[in-house]
Order: sequence, then structure tokens, then C-alpha cells
Amino acid sequence: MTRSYERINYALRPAKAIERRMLCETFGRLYPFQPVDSYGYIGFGSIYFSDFQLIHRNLGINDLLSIERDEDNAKRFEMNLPYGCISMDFRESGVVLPTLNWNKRRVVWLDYDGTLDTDVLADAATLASKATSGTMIVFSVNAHPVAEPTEEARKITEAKQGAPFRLADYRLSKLQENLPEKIPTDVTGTMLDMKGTPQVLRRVLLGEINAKLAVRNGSLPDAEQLAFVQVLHFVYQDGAQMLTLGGVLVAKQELAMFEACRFGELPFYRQDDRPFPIKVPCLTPREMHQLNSFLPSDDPTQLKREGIPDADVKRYAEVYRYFPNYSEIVFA
Amino acid sequence: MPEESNPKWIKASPTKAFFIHMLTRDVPLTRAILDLIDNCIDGAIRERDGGKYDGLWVRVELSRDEFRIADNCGGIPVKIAREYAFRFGRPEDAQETSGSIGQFGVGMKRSFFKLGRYFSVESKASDSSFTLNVDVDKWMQHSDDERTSDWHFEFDSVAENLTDVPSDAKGTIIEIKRLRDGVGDNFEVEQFCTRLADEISAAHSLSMDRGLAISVNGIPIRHTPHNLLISTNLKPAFVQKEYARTLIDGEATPPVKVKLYAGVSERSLHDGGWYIFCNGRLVLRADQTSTTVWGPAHNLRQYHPDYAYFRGFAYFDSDHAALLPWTTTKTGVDVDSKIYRMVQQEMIEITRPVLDFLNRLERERRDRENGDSVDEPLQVEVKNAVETRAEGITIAQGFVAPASFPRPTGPRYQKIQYTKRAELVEKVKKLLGVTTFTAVGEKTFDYYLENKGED
Ligand SMILES: Nc1ncnc2c1ncn2[C@@H]1O[C@H](COP(=O)(O)OP(=O)(O)OP(=O)(O)O)[C@@H](O)[C@H]1O
Ligand SMILES: [Mg+2]
Repeated sequence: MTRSYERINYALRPAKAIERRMLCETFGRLYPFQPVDSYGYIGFGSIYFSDFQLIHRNLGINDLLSIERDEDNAKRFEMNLPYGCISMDFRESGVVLPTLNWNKRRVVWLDYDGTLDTDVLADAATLASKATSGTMIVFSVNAHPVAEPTEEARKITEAKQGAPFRLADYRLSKLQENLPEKIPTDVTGTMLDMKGTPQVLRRVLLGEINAKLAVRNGSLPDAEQLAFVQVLHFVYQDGAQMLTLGGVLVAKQELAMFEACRFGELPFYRQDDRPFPIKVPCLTPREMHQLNSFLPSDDPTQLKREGIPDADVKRYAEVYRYFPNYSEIVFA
Repeated sequence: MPEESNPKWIKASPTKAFFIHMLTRDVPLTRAILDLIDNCIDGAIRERDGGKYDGLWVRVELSRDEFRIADNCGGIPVKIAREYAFRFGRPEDAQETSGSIGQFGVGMKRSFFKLGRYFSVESKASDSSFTLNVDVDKWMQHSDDERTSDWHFEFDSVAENLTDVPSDAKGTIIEIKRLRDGVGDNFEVEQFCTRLADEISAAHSLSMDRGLAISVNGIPIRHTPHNLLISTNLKPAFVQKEYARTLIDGEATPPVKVKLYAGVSERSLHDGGWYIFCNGRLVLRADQTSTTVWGPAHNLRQYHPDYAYFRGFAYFDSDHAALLPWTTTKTGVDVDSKIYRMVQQEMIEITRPVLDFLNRLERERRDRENGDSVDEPLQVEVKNAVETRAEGITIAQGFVAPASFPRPTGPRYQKIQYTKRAELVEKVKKLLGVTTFTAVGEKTFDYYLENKGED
């Protein structure tokens, strides 16, 4: 298995870079719960620690933990630590998360290499069962539809089922293999296309969180009962399509604090099953410079530029504040 | 207006036959006997008030025509017998024994009916004694009718306000005769007695640990303590929690105390899994299903042979037995109870790191088998760890596992195996001028590489 950091430098994946900045801005709004610099942060820093750099520099969070399962290369990770305040834990997240003290408020961004599977759900279950009110939890998973199998694999499936191959059935069976006993009964294979796959994964993930919260709430007084309130829902594609789902665990008695965060003002805020698609416009630095001088703008028609596709202009207007600047090298 | 002439009157009272039928259906024979032993242990709890059970015993005798269980665990006080012990179901106001196994008020009666159609009870308690004989067939002929319903038994002899009962005379003897079809036959089957002994040993190991002696047909029951492997680099997880009663049913006290242990023990496909105890009584043994932690419903893998080293022990204790998640037959947990569902999540979480270690152990074994590695640091660690009593661990800790060696960074090796006709192999051996089969393999491989290989 190639590790994803060996395939590509995270910092160069534009949609991911935009997402990272959007997340950072979202985290900065948590201050009504407590000063954001006194939050903790947990992530999968890989060897680039891009999220850690952004979060430490912009939010002042010093209590930073990077979880990394690739223990064999521990030296390499440690050598790449950009700051002294990041600690590393070389175990599976499923092993690390249950051992932490969850009375502390944290921002947790679990940006998985793979798709939604039982390991991811186990982490979600742990967080839902343990984390305290005011904890921000973000999951990112691969949400690309299952690819057509090779001719050979196709023949094997046909022989096994004794029926002609149907992509929809094949996709459903793959999903069920990955998430046994967790797929809602109304999900059909035809739903599992480009648009539908992240929808289904989101339902499964929320389903797991809510099931665990129900158990936990059963033993809590009314005021302390918790809900997971979604604020982020991204779908984007640098290579494979990704789904990001984020929200805050909020106790009833702290709902006012949550309201005071005013996440709803974020232009990419999403509270339901309609995702905010992060789309990267295809523009030259010079074009971007020109557009910048008219941004922000309430009237997109003003932005029209000769020769630049309107769609790209519109996209750029949506993400320009989060757009990575490649001419600049981040040294820490 | 309890009148048959009342046109709105609908009969709903149970019949004795229904009771006997329904009660005895869902309990296997061995469990019926275990239920009677449970009651002896509740006697011992009252007698020793939570202390040691040294000197206390329970003797079970099985024969073709009779079942007998005798104990010196304090007897049944006449007051309890009169008001509660023989009633079907626990009345709301019944006095309860702190930390008891008894909880539902059915066990003893169910066992009587399951075993036979005639029972006698003889009891000497600290200040009272009684004897009682019941012919179940005759009792059933007494009226069932709602208005004249007659469910009572009668003492044959009864004495109260006694002062001179010597403590070694206190105890209970229960005899059951006119055994039901198949019961006496079973008692003569050696396998049945073995299974019974095995179940008693598992169910009551904690009481035996505290000094209670239990025998079946004169043979003392042995028990194995709940052990986990411990070394400097391998330590079981231990979690201790107290759940306030308010969380469970709104009342103030008492709480439910929970202790959880998860770790590694001797490899055994059959004994691997979770064990659950309520007030010291085993209610679930080596569970390998989703009732505890296994399978995708809990985001863990199914139990399988790699996990045969796994042991988890969950002890639920409360002074108020009704708060514990057991079923009336005490052969399982009430998976829908609030307390169990809360604890289950903890069980899942402490299981995960142990399985993670066992996966690494299996990978190490495979690497060795494939010739990818010669070391087995994890296996050595397991071999050198010492079996230690779980209850001896008192400080909360996470599971500690030895680190795997990083995979060697040098060239990797691959073992090759194949089979050829012996005479041909001998021929090649001669041609090569070597004496071992290994050398035959290596030389022929080198030869091929030299002549056909790229470099
Ligand atoms: N050998 C014994 N020594 C002392 N007390 C006994 C003995 N056998 C029975 N008793 C008394 O009889 C009571 C009734 O027993 P029974 O098993 O029917 O109900 P229970 O133990 O309260 O509840 P459960 O149905 O959960 O077992 C016991 O609680 C106990 O007080
Ligand atoms: Mg009982």
C-alpha cells in the first residue's frame, strides 16, 4: 500500500488547501465556548503537518497531537515536526482516542486516507461517547463511487451471482462489505454514483454518531444532553472525490454559546444534506490579481472579464479568501 | 365487584399449570441446580456480611430417584419463608440482601418444579426453624379459581424465638423426589455431572475464591481464577466506574460499580471472549458475539482464531440487585438495559487495543512463516508474561503492549517451497555434489539466475 503522502504533497492539492483554510476559519469561531487558543487540536499530520502549521499560526493553539499509524517511519515524522508543541502518537486512532481525557475541549480533524469503514465509525463512536460539549469534530473520507471492476473481476462476480453484471449491485455489495450492518435499508445501488455516494456515507456517519449519543443521553440530565450539530459539509475533488463533514457537540445548556459562534455567517456553512462544493477555478496569477481588486463583490456581473470563463470567475469569488498562494513557500 | 354475575368481569388470573409450565420451559436442568446454589450463596452473604466464606459449604447429591442440596449457610428464617421465599415473584416491599444474587423471586420455585413433583425443605436459622413437605400434584388440585384461589403451602413443623441454635447446626436441606421424566436419567449420565461441575465452577468461581466449598456427589468442585498475562511490557487494561443510580431509574442510591479488565491470556479458541458477572455471579461466559463487543455492529471484527488469546472480564456490582443487567435465568445480560449499553461502549473501547496487538502478533507469526523475518519479539513477550489474577489489579490503566520491531530496512527475503519426485531430487543432489535439500534448492536457484538472470 502506498501511503498517500508519498503520492502527493498535500500542500499542492488546491481543493484540500482551500478546505484547510475554511476549516481554520471555522475553528476560530469557537471562542464563545472558551478562548480558542486554549483548545486542543488532534489531527493526522502526515509528514507535512500542513493543518498543524495553519492552526498553530492562525489560532495560537499549542496543545497539538498528531496521530500516525506508520510507526516504522517514526524518525522521519519526528524530523519533520514544524513546532516543538506538536506531540506524536504512533498508534491507530482507534487505540489512541479512547485513552485521551475528553473533558478538555478540542478541535478534532480526522482526515482519513481511505473511505468510510468500521475503523472510521469506531472513532466517531468514541468521540460521540466521550467528547465534551464544545468539541468540534470534522471527518474527511474518500467518497468516490466504486469504480467499474476489471473485465476479469467482472466475470468472477457474474459467475458467483449467476446473473449478468450490474454496476449498481456491485457498488452496493462493495459498500456493504465495507460497512456491514450499517447501510440504511432504503439505500439502493443506483444511489451510489458520484453525487449519491457522499450522501449515503454522510447518513451512515451521522447515524453512528446519533446512535452513540442516544445511549449517552439516556443517562444524562436534560440540560446536559448532547447533540451533534452539523456546520460543515464539503464535497471536492483533487483526485478522488472527498466528503468532509464537521460539527460541534453541544449540550442543551450550552446552546446559547453555540449560537454565539454564528457559524451560519460563514459563506460555506452547511447544516443539511446539500454540500458546499469546493471547486477550484482555473486562473493564472495575473487574472487572480486583477479579480482581487474587485473583491469582495455583491454583484458578480461586475467581475466579468474578457476571455475568462464566467464559471471560473464565479468560483473564484467564492473561494478567493481561502485560495492558496503557491508563490509563497511556508517555512516554519 | 368481583362477581361472576358482573357482566363486565373478565378472568385474567394465572393457573398453576400455566405457571409451572412457563417457568420451567426456559431454564435448562443445570441452570435449575445453579439457581439453588445461588440461594445458598445469598445465605452466605447474609451470614458473613460480605466477609470470607471459610467453613461454609454446599453439597449437591444427584441420584436416579432423588435430588438433594444441603448447606450450612445460615438457613431460611421462618419470617422470610412465610412472607417471601415461597412466593412467586418478589413483592415490592420484600426486604433485600445487599449484594445478593437473588433478585426476581422465582429461582427456587422454578427449580423445584423443573426437577420433580415432590419437595421438602428443612431449615434451621439463628432463631427459627421449620420443615415443609409439598406434593406438587396434590397442590395443583387445590382450587385455581380466582375467588377461592389457593396458592399457599403449609409448614409441617415450625419453631420461632429459638435462642440455642448452635452456629454449626444452621443451614438448609432441600430434597426433591418423584423426579420428572429424564431428570433422574440425566443424573446418572457422567457427562451431565461433568457439565454441571463445569458450570458451577465457572458461575461461582468468585464465591469459591472467597472460601465457599461446593461439592457434587462428594467430589469438590475446583475453580480457576480469572487470570491475565502481565509483564513489564504487556499489561491488561483496567477501568473502574461508578454509575449513580439516578442515571438508571431516578432513585438516589445505591450506585452500580463496574470493573472492566481486558487483556491477553492463554490461547484458547473456546475460552477467548468476554465474561460478565453480576454481584459475583457469572452470567455470560466467553462471549464471542455481538451481545458484548464482537462484529461490525460495534465496529470491531468478528471473533476469530487470532483472538483466542483475548480475555475480557466485566464485573457489575450493586447492593440493589435489580439495577444489574441480568436476565431472570442469570444466563445472559439484558442487552437493552441502560446500564449495560453505557458500559458496553467502554468494553468496546478497551477491547480494541488488545485486538490491535493480537493482529500484530498474527502478522509477526505470518512474517516468520513466510521467511520474511526471524525474530518474534511479541511472541516471546507473551511467553514470558506471567498469569496474574485480574482482581489483583487495582490501579486504572490502559492496555500496554510491546512495540513491534520495525520491519527490517535491508533486503527482504522470501522463502520458496516445492515438491519434486524423490529420485529426481537425489539425482540433482549428486549432480550438484551437495548433501542437503536446502542446498539443492539454493544451488539450482543460483544456477538459474546466473544463466538467465539480468544481473
Ligand atoms: N439455602 C438457602 N439458604 C438461605 N436462604 C435461602 C436458601 N434457599 C432459599 N433461600 C431464601 O429464599 C428466597 C427465595 O428464593 P428464590 O430463589 O425463589 O428467589 P430469589 O433468590 O430472591 O430471586 P431469584 O429468582 O433471582 O433467584 C431467597 O431469596 C432466600 O432468602
Ligand atoms: Mg434465588
